[in-house]
Parts: sequence; structure tokens; C-alpha cells
Amino acid sequence: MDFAQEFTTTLNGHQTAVAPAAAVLSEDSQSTVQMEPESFTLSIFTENRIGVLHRIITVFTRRHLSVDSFTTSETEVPGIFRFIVVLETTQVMAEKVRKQLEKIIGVIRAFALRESDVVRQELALYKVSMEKLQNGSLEKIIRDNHARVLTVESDYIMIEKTGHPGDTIDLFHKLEAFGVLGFSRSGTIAISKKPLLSPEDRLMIKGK
Amino acid sequence: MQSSPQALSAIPPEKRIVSGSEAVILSLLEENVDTIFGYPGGAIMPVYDALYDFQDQIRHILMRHEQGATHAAQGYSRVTRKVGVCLATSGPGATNLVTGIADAMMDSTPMVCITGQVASHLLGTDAFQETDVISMTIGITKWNYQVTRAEEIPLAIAKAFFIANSGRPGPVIIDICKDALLGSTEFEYEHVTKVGAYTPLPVASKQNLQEAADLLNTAQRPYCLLGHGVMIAGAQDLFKEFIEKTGIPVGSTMQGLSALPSDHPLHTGMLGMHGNYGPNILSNKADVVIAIGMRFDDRVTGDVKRYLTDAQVIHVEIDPAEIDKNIMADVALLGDAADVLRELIPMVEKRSHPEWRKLFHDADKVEYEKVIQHDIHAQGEFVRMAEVVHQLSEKTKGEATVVTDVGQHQMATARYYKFRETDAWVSSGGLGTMGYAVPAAFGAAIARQDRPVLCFVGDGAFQMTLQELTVLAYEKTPVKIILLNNGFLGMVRQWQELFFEGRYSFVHMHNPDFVAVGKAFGLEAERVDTRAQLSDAIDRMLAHEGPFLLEIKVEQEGNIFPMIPSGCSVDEVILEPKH
Repeated sequence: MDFAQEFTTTLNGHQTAVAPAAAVLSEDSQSTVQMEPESFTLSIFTENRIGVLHRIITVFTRRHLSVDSFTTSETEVPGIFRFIVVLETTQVMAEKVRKQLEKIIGVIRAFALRESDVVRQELALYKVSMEKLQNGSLEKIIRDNHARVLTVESDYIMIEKTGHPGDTIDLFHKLEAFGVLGFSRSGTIAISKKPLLSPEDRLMIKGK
Repeated sequence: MQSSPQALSAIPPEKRIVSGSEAVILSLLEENVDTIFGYPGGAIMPVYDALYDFQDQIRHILMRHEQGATHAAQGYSRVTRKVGVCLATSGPGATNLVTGIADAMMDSTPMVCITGQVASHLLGTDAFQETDVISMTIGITKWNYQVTRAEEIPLAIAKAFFIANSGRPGPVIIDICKDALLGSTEFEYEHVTKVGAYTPLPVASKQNLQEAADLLNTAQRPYCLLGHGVMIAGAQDLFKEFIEKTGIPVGSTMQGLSALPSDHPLHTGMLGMHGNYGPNILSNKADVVIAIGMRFDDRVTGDVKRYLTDAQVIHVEIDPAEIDKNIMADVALLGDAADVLRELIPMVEKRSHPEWRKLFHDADKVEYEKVIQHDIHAQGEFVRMAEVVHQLSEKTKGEATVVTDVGQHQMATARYYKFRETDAWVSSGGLGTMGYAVPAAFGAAIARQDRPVLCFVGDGAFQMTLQELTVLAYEKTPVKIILLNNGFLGMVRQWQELFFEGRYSFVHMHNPDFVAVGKAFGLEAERVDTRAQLSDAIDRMLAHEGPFLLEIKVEQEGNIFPMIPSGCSVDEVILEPKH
């Protein structure tokens, strides 16, 4: 589901800004508040304002929360940005952080989503040396891992793969036999499986 | 908000071209600012140049340190609920504001600080007196913004005032590059009432209001926690109506003091670490707790795992991030305290809880016998802090503005001053900033001249901002400084005595001659060494027209009790040291 679809989907699942912690995160968590750390994806919609980036980061650093991934890009609405932050934490802390994020002037809405509630992807680029191609079947690895070749130069080949963070690092290890000259990952982007924004949110964002 | 007549007269009806600096001053006038606390310097000089022409419309107080400017602005704001305004230059001027800004953030005090900044083409070059004040203050401001072009100034300032004093109030910094101040812009001012998605006033749902009313109407032992938010919302009368209808006894946070007269029959005293015995020992007996405009600070709750153990909690709060932050709420009522109470009052039943309230009276008797009578009718050789506060409370009939610094004297004042006026307690709560009192008392005194201003301060804290005595003297501001001198950093010493086996590490103060200091600054000053001198000296101080410094030698190793030892539960409050 892309951003535009997400805005226009029937919005039955609209959640209020201050529902009890257990209710905000996912339907199956309503009965019990989980105290064990798990992976949360925070989806944060912001107005493009100087200082919002820094203010968002301090919400995590102040609480000693280490962030696994942090990405941002403009949405299809000019001037509206979306941050995707992935971190391991408890449900209670995820909800506290979500509220602190929403408190920032310049943040429109923030959502804390369980792993089961989102589709997550990341993009990885691999620059592989041409010198050791005899060490295995590069073609088989590329096929088996659903990677693709972006460019071939005289001394290296550039490969691209999208997938879960685990898959992209997995491919890195497989390519190590050939000599990886460069490896870069985009960080996680994600989209909720459920509608997030209310009709009011949507109007407000589109009205920008 | 209406423009002041002065502001209108300053601006011809047609748009006009003004300098960035003039736009700053005109914007402040549009926001009805009558007083600025500031200190000039390189980058802010263009604003001071513009200010030269507006001295008849805006009062600028030259403080002696930028930290003093922030505390004065806080004092001004706390007794008027208007936005306090500070002006400072870049670099050290801006960094000196930091403590006061952090204090205002913690205590929800609306403040707008305008700082000069190096010219925009020099940003990031380590230019003279350049500091990245925006990055530095992100964690301690509600909002901040750097202006690099003159035409941004009116809107930036309009937003600053709206954000600072709407919703949960807080401090805002507008950092303005020198070239923007020197540049020119068309001046047209529009008040801001909306900033993007910022929602200052959430509204409690009908369903939650009904749930809260049901809980209150069936409660057997309900208790109400009164916070600063009641005064910020101007909800004192509604609050009184609410508790008188429901018959719920009230415990006040320290910052909630003076929202309800201390002698109100439903007032059970202060919550927290050095609060009253009843509120602490009985919190865990309550079956329903309604907390209004307070944030369950750790000084109030003690060990959170053993706090309100038997109660369903209703949390009335304007800041959604405070809900479930420290204490989980069973019912959250989001909104301004006045709006929520207005909705709730018709929904609650008229009740009284005589048996439950009797438990508080019983606890009061215990506290009086074990602590209070020894404090206020002290017999020993030395004057006690509590008896000084008690005498001042009596002699001013509870009608003063009471400003304190931080430490033992603060707790003694919070415990023993009996308030009859509201918006009358000015103290650094969340941040616990030593050095707060003298400048804050000055700000409070020039903001409201209808009440005497008592400034309680310890000998440690006094020395942190005593340079501001100069301002009291030249402005002839009738602040009465009660310097409770025990020759120690008393609260730290108390902890070292009780929890660090009496190992007094750097808490003994080698003090100057405070009376001489006061006189050197131009204040009337006097010292009290014995109990026999106390009453007359207080009378002379109160009768004096100008600022007065009364140094009182108090018991050196006096302790503040009751006390909830750190990490303990509220019902483990102790009335005397355990031997």
C-alpha cells in the first residue's frame, strides 16, 4: 500500500492521539501490555521545519534508546515529510516516545507499530570485485537472492537488492568470497498494513 | 488578543518599511509587552538601538546577568500569567539564558527569549560570539527558531508568543541573525492562533468524563491532587466549586500552592518528599484519585511502584504526553483544567466524606505534635527556619507574593506559609535552580505592586545571583529578602547526615558579611542573631518602603521533616530521624 492509498483507504482504524498504551499499538495487544522489548517501527509525519529532525533525535537520545534504523523522505505532498524509525523497546516505552514525538511542534502525527503491523523493506548496494569471480557462481547468488545488477565496470560489478535487513546482510556474507569493495544500506522504510491517518489528518496534510 | 493603544499609535495605518530591529520592538508592542528583562551585546545591539526610541512605551530592565533576566521574566510571568520576555546577545549572552529556559520548561512558564546571532553568512564559521543556541536549547524549549531574514521577524515573534502561552506553556527562543536585524522589511503584524498541526487544547471525551464522574460518585475515599495547571488555567474558582460539591479532600503539589487558600477546610496540605504527613500517609488509602494539572513528579510520588496502590486514577491534564508517563491513568481527561472542571462539575454528586476526612485531621494532629509545634514554637537556642516563615505568614496575613530559592528554606516556606492569595507562590520546582529567588522576586515585584513580595533565600543560593541586588536598589523595588543563613548548603548537608553517614563533603559555607553586602548594593540591611530580635526586625523590614535584606542566623544543622527518603514509598514518610 503506498502513501496515497494509505491516505485514501477507508479509515476505520483511526486511533486517537491518547488512547491507553495498549490500545494504540495494535489490536492484538489490547488485553495485555507487553513488557518485553520487541521491534517497533515509528512512523512520523512532519512539516518541513528546521529543527524538527534534531528535536526528533533528542527524543531517543534523551532516553538512551538506541535506534536500529532512521530514514526520512518527502511524502507525495510537498513539504510533508515522513520519518521511519526502527528500534527495539518495550511497548510502554514505544508509546511514551510516540507521545513525546507528537508533542513536538512541527510533528503532525506519530505512530508506533509492531513488526506484524508493517511491511518493511530496505535497499542495499554491493560493489563486488571482478578479480575473484572464479571463487563461485556469482550468477547463481544473484538469482537465488533476487538481486540485480545495476552496472558492470572493468574492475567491479554493482549489485542491488531490496529485502528485509536480515536478507540484505545475508547477501553481503555470500558475496564476501568475491571481495566486497563497498556495501551500503538505505535503512528501513515501512508502510503500515492498516490505515493510520484519520480523515481530519488527511485533510490537514493535503491542505498544506 | 487586542493591540495596545500604544502599539497602534506607533504604527501608521499604511504598511511601512522598518528595520528588522524595529520590527522586533513593534512586534513586542503588538503582543502587549510592557516589560523586557535584558542585557545588550554585539549581535543584539541593533535591537537596543531601536529600543532607544521606544523607551516611553516599553520598560527595559538592565539585569546584571542574563540568567537573572530569565528568572526575573519567570517571576513576572508567574504572578501575571503573561509571557515573560528576555533579550540577550549571542554567544555567552545566549548560553547564560540556558538555566532559566530549562527552569521555565520544567515549570511550564511562558517565556519568549530573543537572542542576537552572528550575521547569517558567518553561521557555522566559529565567528566571534557565535554559539549554536538553537541546537543547544532544543531539549529545553517548547519551540525555537532562527531568523535569517528581516521579513521573517514579525511572523516568528507572533508564533513565539502563541506557542509560549498556549496549551501547556513553555519557553521559546527566537534567535535573530544580525543582518536580519539590520535589514529592512515591510511591517505588518498578524497575531498567530494556529501553527500547523499543533493542538494546544485537546478536549476530553464525553465518555471519559462520564467514567470519571461515575468513579467520583461512587468513591468511598476519594482524594484530589492539585497542581500548578489549575492556576495556569485560571481555574481556581472552578476548582473550589468542584471540591466543595464533591467533598473531596485536596493535597497540593509544591507548585500548586496558593491555588486554594491554605486554610480551606478541604485543604490537607502539601504532597511529596517534604510535604505534610496526612497527604503522604493516606495517598495509598485512597480508592479514587483525581489529579488535576500535575505531572506525578518523582518528588511527589516517591517510589512509583508503591504509589496510589489502591486507587483508580483520573488524570486531568493538558499535555497528552503526561498521561501514563509516570503513573498509569484509568481515566484520562485531556484539556485545560478550567474546561474539564466546567464539564465535570454538573456531572458529579454533592457528597461529603466525613470519616475519610477525619483520617487527615488525625494525621494533622500527629504531625503537629511531632514536628510542627517544635518548628514554629521552637524553644532551643537557635532560630528555626520554620518559625521565621510562620511569623512572616502571620504578619503578612498570608497575603504576600512568596518567592523562594531552592533548598531547606524552600521546603520550610512551602510548609509554613499559609496562602490566602492566589498566583502567589513563585519557586523553582522541576529544575530546582539555586539562584532563582532574588531575580524572580524582582520580576514578581515589578509585575504586581498590590502585594508585598517576600523573597526567602538560603546563604548558598543567595550567592549565586546576588549581583541582581543592584537592580533592586536602583529600581527601588520593595522586595523583602529573608536570608536564612545556616552556614551550610543545608539540604545537601541534611542528606549527608541522614544517608551518607554524616560525611559532610563540601557543604560548609564560608560566607561574606551579608549585611555589608546588602548595604554595599544600596539595600537597607539588618541581621538577626537571636529569637528575641526576630519579631521587631521583621516588623522593621515590612514597614520599610524599599528593598530590604534581613539576614537571619538560623540553626546550623536543622533538618526538614517530615521526609520521604529517596526510593521509599509515600506511606514510609518519616517524622523524625531514625536513631
